[in-house]
Amino acid sequence: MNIQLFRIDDRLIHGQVVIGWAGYLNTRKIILCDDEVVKNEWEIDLYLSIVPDHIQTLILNTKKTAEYLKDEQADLSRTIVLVNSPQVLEELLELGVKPAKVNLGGLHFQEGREKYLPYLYLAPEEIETLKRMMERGIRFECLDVPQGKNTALEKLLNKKN
Amino acid sequence: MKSAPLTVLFTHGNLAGALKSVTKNLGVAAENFYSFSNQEKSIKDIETEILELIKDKSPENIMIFVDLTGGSCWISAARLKKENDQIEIMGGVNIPMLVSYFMNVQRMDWQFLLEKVSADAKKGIARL
Repeated sequence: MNIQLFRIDDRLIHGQVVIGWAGYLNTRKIILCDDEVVKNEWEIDLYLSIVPDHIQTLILNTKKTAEYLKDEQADLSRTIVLVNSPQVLEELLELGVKPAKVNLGGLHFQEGREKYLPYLYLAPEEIETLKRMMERGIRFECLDVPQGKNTALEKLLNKKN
Repeated sequence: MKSAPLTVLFTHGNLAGALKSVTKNLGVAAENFYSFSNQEKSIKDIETEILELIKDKSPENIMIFVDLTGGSCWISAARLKKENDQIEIMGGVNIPMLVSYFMNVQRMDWQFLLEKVSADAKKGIARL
């Protein structure tokens, strides 16, 4: 699967994605995968309003995202895929999506989450989900912006424990 | 004199605090003026604090200045506005925008003020 960036970020589309990553990678398509956003026209309009005109944006639910990513006819070159949690990524995996590498770009403070990096807070159940996916061969890299310091999740978890 | 609107600066990094400090150092009278940085607090916490301020102050008008139109502060402010019609949001905050706002807020009608502030902010971007 030749995706430019497969990213977990609880803010989905925002400045770091549109300015940082899409600019750096010369992205032409963003796929926002979220079962809630897709049902909310106001949220859809909000996200669409912040993406520059030269980037196509698809807002799809998990099932449609999986179908799209598995479609051999779909042009996935210069594409960023965004999900807001490890759980959504695991659902995509269950539906047959196989990203080799996933960017952990932003999971922010919430009750029950512990700090790993300034932009990465994880709850115990999220760590378990990530570990299950690592066992399936998914490589996770922690990196908020392209110019940041890239840290392998495995290393981060080992260091913490 | 009209009651001062609630004015919020909501930005990335520590920009909000710096903009607030510079605005005040310029001698502008800035009442009910609060700054929030997503470096110090989570977006959710900031949203909660802004809602508490609104509840506490019960202002007639509320202005939220954000730095980057389309950034996470903008998105968060837009979600607050969805639930509260009194809120106005201006992206691309700069010092001329803030100075114009505080110099005119007590003397201008709110809608005219918004247009003037936007125009003054653009005028403040210049080449020499």
